[in-house]
Amino acid sequence: MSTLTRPKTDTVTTAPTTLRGPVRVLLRLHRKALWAGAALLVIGIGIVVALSVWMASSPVRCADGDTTRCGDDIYVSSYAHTSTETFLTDGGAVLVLLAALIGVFVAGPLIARELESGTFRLAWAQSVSPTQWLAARLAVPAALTVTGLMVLVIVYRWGLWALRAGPNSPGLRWHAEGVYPGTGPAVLGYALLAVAVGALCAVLVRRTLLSMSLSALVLAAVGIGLSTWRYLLWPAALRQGEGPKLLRDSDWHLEGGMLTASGSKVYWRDCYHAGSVEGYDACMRDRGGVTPFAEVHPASHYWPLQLVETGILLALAALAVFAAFRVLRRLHG
Amino acid sequence: MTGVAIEAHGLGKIYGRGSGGHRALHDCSFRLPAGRVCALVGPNGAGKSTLLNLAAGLDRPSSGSLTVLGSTVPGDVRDRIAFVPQDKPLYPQLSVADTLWAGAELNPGRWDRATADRIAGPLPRNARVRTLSGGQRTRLALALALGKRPELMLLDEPMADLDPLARNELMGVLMAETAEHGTGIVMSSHILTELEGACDYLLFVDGGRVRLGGESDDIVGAHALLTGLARDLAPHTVVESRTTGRQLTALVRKEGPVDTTAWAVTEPSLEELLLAHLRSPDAPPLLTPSASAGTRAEVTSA
Repeated sequence: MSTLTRPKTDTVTTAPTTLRGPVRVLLRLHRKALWAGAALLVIGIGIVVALSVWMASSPVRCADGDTTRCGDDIYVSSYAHTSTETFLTDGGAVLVLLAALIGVFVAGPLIARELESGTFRLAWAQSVSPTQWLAARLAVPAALTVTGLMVLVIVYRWGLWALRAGPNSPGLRWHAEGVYPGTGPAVLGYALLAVAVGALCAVLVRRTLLSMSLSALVLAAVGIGLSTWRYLLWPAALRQGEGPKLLRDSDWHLEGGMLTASGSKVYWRDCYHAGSVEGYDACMRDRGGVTPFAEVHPASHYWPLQLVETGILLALAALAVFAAFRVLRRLHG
Repeated sequence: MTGVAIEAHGLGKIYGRGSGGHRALHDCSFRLPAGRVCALVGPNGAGKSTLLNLAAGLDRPSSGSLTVLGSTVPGDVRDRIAFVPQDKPLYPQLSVADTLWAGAELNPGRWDRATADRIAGPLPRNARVRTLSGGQRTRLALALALGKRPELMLLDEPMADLDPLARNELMGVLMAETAEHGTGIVMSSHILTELEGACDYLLFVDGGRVRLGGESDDIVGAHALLTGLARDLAPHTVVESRTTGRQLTALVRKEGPVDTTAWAVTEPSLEELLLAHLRSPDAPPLLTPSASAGTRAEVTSA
């Protein structure tokens, strides 16, 4: 079957420095993985679309939408709505996991397995230099994942937008750990870093399983590190006052407390031992607190935060790519 | 540099680092003229594979220089070299047809599909590489190597896993394809008989050094097997000698005319010659003028 569809390339006229040949051979070598990737993409789109269709078609009790306030204080959500919420709460985390999975694939089957089994010499003994060989193994997964994840990010954002018409569940706020990384360019940064780290681990240890585990460890460390300290990536806004002046629904609340007359900060968390609302107030007043304040990331900080995180990931990816080529060149000239 | 396929000066390769490193090649200097069919022989672990890996541009030397097809960086002329490593690396998941297609893709502008197809000949095109036998793998690897129309072929133990019949057949195919274009070949083996007859040039590597190099006839002709009463063998260089009672049998490197009245002189076979050198690690190296690398040649007498 494959022989019939094979293009009749007797003599290709392109220059020998081109990546065309290595890329085409690479795609042929990992046809099954390509199909699996395409299947994941379709499944991802399918899940979001199916949930939306389900939500749209599930019976609505009141006339003004899926999730409604039926003349009293009680919100009635359809089962479809709550299920969709539950699924989409972790959508961003799933996308980051997908990106990491591709990195592990690059680290193992794509590069380290060739180095381990010796098949890299097949390419290198043909007219493909080690540099071209590695470049093809970086460019193809990078291009495919960025494209695929871009589609999934758009679909995910569309799914969230459809949901946010109703009242937000706390898990769906823009800064939620399971949502935030999958709604913007950061996940593309994760994908590129995963590919780069996978390649570096592969050329360093040259063993399939070891390289896969090592890159998974590195990627997990970066992922956990960034999600823990993400709030530091952009200076937080300081709000003072009471009620909506202090906090809005869309805010990412980081710290709260009171300012003293001299302007220094007393944090609520220092008074947690007090045990009751009156106790807190007394404790804060004792410490000289006058005006309540809050440190928050307003929704407008979404893009700066995303872009800084993406920038960090891209810089790390560039470093890893540089190191991978250096290691390969030092070993094989 | 025209007319030279490979030229090495003080070539060395150490695997690993520091004092624990393994010295695979040490201070190798030789020259291989273009268009020769050269047997690279030596015991296991002599450095044959290392030398071929370096010449193919897959590894980089630790010391010294190596010029292949006029380029001091062998990797830069990889499109003009074909290299078949000992284990014949092929992608197991590809079919024979896909492997040949990959050969065309990886050698843009050089690929000779007709030749590759002819050599792959009887291989079932839809068979996966992982299902092929040793002989079939060798055939496919040779098809890939010859399909790129190389000027120099480096074959590492190409016939090792073949039965005599397949060996004979593939050797015939190889010789027929290369004779036409005057392709240079370096073929390694630890079994000389596998290559004798096919090769007109010899590089004998042992302990990481080149001990014999040059036209096979010249190398054989430079030695003599002497039998006679035990006596001084001067001025000849003794490679190996054995006494049985008063009878002395010696393999010597001739340093002038041999006294045929005192000795029964026969010409050693190439195999006898190599075995004698293997048993006598201290015998000085011999490189014929065509095999001596430039000015830093070690021995040039013949």
